[in-house]
Amino acid sequence: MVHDLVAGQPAWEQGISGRDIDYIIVLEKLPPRELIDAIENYLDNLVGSAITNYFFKKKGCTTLEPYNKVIKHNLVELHTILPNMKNSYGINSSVFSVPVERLDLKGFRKRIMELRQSIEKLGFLEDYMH
Amino acid sequence: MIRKIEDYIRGVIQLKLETLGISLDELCDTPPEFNEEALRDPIRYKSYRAFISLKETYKNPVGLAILYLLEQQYSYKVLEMYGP
Repeated sequence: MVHDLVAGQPAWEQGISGRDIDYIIVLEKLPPRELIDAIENYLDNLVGSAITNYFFKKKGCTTLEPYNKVIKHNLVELHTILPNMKNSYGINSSVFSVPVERLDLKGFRKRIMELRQSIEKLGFLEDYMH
Repeated sequence: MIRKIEDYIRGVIQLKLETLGISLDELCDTPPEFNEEALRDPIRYKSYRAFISLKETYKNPVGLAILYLLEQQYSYKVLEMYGP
């Protein structure tokens, strides 16, 4: 089960939150906050629009306003940290660790490479057809 | 490339909504902040469960998009990423 965490405890048990996914990203160098806000906003609207568009196409609603705007709540939240800040986010391995899941970056990179290769193949086919 | 990732995210969300069989009203029914009262209400709890299930579906695709944007578009090396 997925839940948001507040002070290391599932937020919903405390009567708080539940709508967004909090990603904690450990980086070598911190990007500017404006860039992170822009990425957050872009992903929020992407997910929100996908939800609304589904219902719009099914004639389940008449609005095209992204779902995140309808519920007035963000769906994606990014927390960028340096490796030495991991302790304060409770994600260093210990029995008292916050129950967050480490995402499979290796798998993500492989998937990105596959997507890139499929685009290149498509480009090659288009060139061949012309 | 980013268009492909966008299509991937839209695809998983819309496929999940198709299987959940929930209306937009039900998905919007609970207050933006899920609270204890909403969770005790069996009708609202259904919406809550549906939303949690939807979140689980797009967690990894959105993680992939974050990694792509930070590393490939803006050249920031991502060491680790954690989700709920």
